[in-house]
Amino acid sequence: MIGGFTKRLGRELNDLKNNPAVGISVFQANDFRIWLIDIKVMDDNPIYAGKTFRLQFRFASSYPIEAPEVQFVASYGIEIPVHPHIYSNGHICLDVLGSGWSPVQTVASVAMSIQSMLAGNDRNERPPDDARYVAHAPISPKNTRFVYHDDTV
Amino acid sequence: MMSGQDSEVNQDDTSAGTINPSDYVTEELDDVTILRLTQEIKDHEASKTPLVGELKPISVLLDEYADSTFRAKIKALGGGSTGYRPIRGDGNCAWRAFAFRFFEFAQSYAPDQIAELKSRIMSLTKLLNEAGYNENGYIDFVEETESLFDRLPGLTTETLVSEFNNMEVSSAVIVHFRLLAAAYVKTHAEDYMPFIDDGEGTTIEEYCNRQIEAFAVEADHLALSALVNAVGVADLGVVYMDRSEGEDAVVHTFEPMSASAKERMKIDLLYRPGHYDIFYR
Repeated sequence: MIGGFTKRLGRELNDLKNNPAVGISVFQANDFRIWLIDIKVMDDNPIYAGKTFRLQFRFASSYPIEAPEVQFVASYGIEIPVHPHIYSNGHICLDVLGSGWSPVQTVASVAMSIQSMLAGNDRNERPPDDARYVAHAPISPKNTRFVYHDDTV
Repeated sequence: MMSGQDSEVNQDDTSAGTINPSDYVTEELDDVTILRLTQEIKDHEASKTPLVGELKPISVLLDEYADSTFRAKIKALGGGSTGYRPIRGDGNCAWRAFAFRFFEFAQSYAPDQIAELKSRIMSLTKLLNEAGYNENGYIDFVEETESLFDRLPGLTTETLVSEFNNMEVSSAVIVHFRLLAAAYVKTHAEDYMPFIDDGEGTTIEEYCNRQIEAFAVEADHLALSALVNAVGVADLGVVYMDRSEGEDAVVHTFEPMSASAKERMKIDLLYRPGHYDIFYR
């Protein structure tokens, strides 16, 4: 893009701050490499009620042609949400972050996809292969070749 | 690696299933090494095949095939007057081929015709809005296409090839055209739903996301039809060079349903299983 990806991210950041979606807020965005976005599940799903979770977005210079690297991060008082497609190291198995990525997606739309993935979940459990995956997982979730599962779970 | 894989094959990986330990591949190499190796593979591929290559005589293809079915079809395409322009096989080839040929025709137009074409394509931004796309998501790509139209009167075929070998310019135009096609499908749902309905409840949104919007997923028949309908000023002929019976390659023609231009450009693509190049009659 002319002016590079910072122009796009600058616009996205303004939009996130000025027209935030319900339950989605910017915790930290000091540069155009790493942003931390907080999300809350707005319905009364008992698994996530009253909790705030933190997503880390890492942008390469190829963003938005290539997907950002997105994962949950834990912090003081902030856990990795329990979900059958979210590993305990914060890696998320979601097609929009991999082969389903489209450059028309934004940080806000990704955060909302993940928010609705949590809202629709009624299984208070980790992926069955969590221990094995976490023990061998690459640092970047983008280096995992996930097979995407039924997104109705 | 997800970011590095070639996507010529249709990525039907959103199907339902349970999670098995074998569903993913963990890497023994560290991430920095993986990134370096991925980049080396990409660089190697790039040095072998540019995004948009030089125009070559069709006879060059004969050297690539020993198979008699293919050779007969190549010969039937004609002799010295026909040619092809190779496009890199990165999952975007049909889109890149169409977009390049579209701009190559436009480049040969008079300045007022270029301006008319530009305003036609720019007016389609309303289709993106009707389809529900967020402006933040598409504006950079639309602006890049607009800027290419503005540079066009000063370009030659050679410099247009250079423009399309610039990854940012090329990618932006492809994303723009992909979104126009997807927006056309979304705003003409009643026309397309019968073809999308696979009995498994796939919605228009899901189809567009997986098959059209997703970068580096190859165009299927429906996507090409939507692209032709959205653009509205070009007929698309796809010459099928496959192993099917017969001496002549089958040509499938897409024409816009409601054509806005009196004279339409004739874009031809040469299809070989899994790949598209540009064909010149």
